[in-house]
Amino acid sequence: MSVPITPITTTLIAPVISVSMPLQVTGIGASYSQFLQSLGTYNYGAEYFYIAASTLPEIGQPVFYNHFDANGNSISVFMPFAVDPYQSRPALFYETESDQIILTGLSSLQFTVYAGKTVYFKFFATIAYIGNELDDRNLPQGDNLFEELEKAEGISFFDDYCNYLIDNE
Amino acid sequence: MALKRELIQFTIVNSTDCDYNIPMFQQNVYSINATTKYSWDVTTAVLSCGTGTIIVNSVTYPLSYTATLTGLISALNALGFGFFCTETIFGSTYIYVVDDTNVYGDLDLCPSGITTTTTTTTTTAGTTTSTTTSSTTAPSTTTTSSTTTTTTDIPTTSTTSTTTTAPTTSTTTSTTTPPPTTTTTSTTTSCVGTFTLINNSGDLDISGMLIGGASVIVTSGSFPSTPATTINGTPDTSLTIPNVYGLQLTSVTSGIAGQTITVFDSLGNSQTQTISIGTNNIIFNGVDFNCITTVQIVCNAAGATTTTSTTTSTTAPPTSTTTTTSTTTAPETSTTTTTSTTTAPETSTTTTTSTTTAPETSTTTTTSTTTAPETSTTTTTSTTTAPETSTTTTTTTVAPTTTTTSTTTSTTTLLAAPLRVENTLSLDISVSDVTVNAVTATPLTGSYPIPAGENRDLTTTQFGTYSITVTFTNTITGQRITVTDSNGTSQCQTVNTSSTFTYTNCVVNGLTQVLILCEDGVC
Repeated sequence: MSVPITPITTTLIAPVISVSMPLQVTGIGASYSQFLQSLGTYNYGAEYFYIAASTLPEIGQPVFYNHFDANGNSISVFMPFAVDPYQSRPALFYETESDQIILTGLSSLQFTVYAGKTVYFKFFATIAYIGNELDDRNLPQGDNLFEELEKAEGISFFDDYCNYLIDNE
Repeated sequence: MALKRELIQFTIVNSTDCDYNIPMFQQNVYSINATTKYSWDVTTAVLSCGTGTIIVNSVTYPLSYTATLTGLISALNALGFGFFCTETIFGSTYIYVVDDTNVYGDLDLCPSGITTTTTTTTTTAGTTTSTTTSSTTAPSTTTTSSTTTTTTDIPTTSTTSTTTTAPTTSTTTSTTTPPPTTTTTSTTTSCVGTFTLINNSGDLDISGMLIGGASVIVTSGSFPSTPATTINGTPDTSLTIPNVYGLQLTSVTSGIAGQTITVFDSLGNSQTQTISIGTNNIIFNGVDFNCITTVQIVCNAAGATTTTSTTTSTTAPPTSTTTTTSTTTAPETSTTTTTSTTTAPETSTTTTTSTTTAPETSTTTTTSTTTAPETSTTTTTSTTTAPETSTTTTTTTVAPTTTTTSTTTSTTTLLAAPLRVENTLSLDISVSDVTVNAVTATPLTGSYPIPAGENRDLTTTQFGTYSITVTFTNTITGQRITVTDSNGTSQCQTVNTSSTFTYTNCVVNGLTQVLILCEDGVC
């Protein structure tokens, strides 16, 4: 007769599966969890992937891009990485268009990290996000957002604001 | 919408003893950067049955795995929670998972008592009719004997003997019985995922639903879904469950802004979309369907609070019904007919002895013996065995897994001195030995004898219902020794001369001290 095994719960000092930003000159970058939290607000269209490790077999296994089609069905696509010969350590790279591999939080890049190994991972991303710059003059009318707002509301709050400042100096 | 271009880089470290197929950049991958570790000691666990359960977030999940540790790890990882691995610490083998989000409970491998097996065996005995008719016709023998003997001189003998043997007829008819026919039909029915669409909105109409691009099967209610209705159903049977599918609500019509639809999938993950006014198809990506937990689609009124707790409908394991019907049909008719007709030879022996002797004597002796045929007819007729049908139906139903762990730790401390001799009230009794079950009880302090005026605690290892003997010496009569056992039962014997008293059926339990009291006065 079996006896249920009750788990022993402990809190580790460091995670056994860790994904972290490497140390940079300007300090520690955004954490992996912050990156994940930004997904949805920011969508990352990846253009260039780079993966490296101390030995080639550690990164030689297939890499898949998992995402969902228009009907929401799960799709897994093999990504044919190529060996980067101009590196001091074993490295692979994969180049694509920024609208091919899109990281949204639901999609993923799946590959095997061997037991006890460390893998370095980089990619260039074109980041699309909801927002605009206040003085952006790329609107169709050629105005910035302040002027658009005044037109929409029928006010001219900023008109002669510069002269007002001069007069009162 | 704005665009910018950046370099993003990560260092991925796998410090476990297991390869990890990591889904980078996917949300809700629980083991990444987690530090809460749950470990199960499986050193002595039996994996041979290939089944088990694990509790995650208070829900019991069934496990089915190849009967190895690797197979168990694969099954645990397939649950979709944290990443499970093994490690060995000081010779003990542990399974562990590191997960800050989910809460893990007991792991029960090869649990007993969750499988109910009902075996119904119906055996219809065949009807056997055996008729044996034996007819023996005794031989009809006619013997004619005539002997004439004439002694003559110097006979010359010529003998002619003719024996005619009638034919012997033996007929054997044998019917070979075919082997039994056994038909075994095994049918396994797997479960399918289920969903329920609860429309609590004020004004949302949904004309249909697609899961994995296929129309769903409605088991109760009907589309279109309208406010205050519920529709239950299953994904199309062509889909493989468990799996992740897109869920599309077709032609969702809303007349009120701010209404929402929330989908709780089988893993408890939820997605909420706010429905804009008009008619739209609403798609939820990556909805996990499994055989255990019903996927819920809840339409909420504008401003309603979405329940974030996953109300998983059941914790019942997948219903897997295996029906095995084995029908063994004995040969319908087994007929063995043996017809043996033995016709004894009709023996006709004609012995003609012709003796020609001297001329004066001529003797002819004719002996004719005719034996009528011995007819032995054995007829074994008709041994007919009606078909023997043996039907065995085995239904195995896996009952809902309920694991209740009750651990009661009871510590009982036995007395150091289960017995005590009190000898301050006797006149001159000196106790030289006390035995329990014929084993001497040892004084905790000092030694035997225990003279008048002293008390002494005794220890023993004999716990139970035994005879206690008290050996003592005395010179004064009219004293008594009373033994009161652990149950409070007293036995008293009056002391006259030095002796050994035996007190039978005394309970010595180590919890209540047995008192041996020596006093003045008779019982």
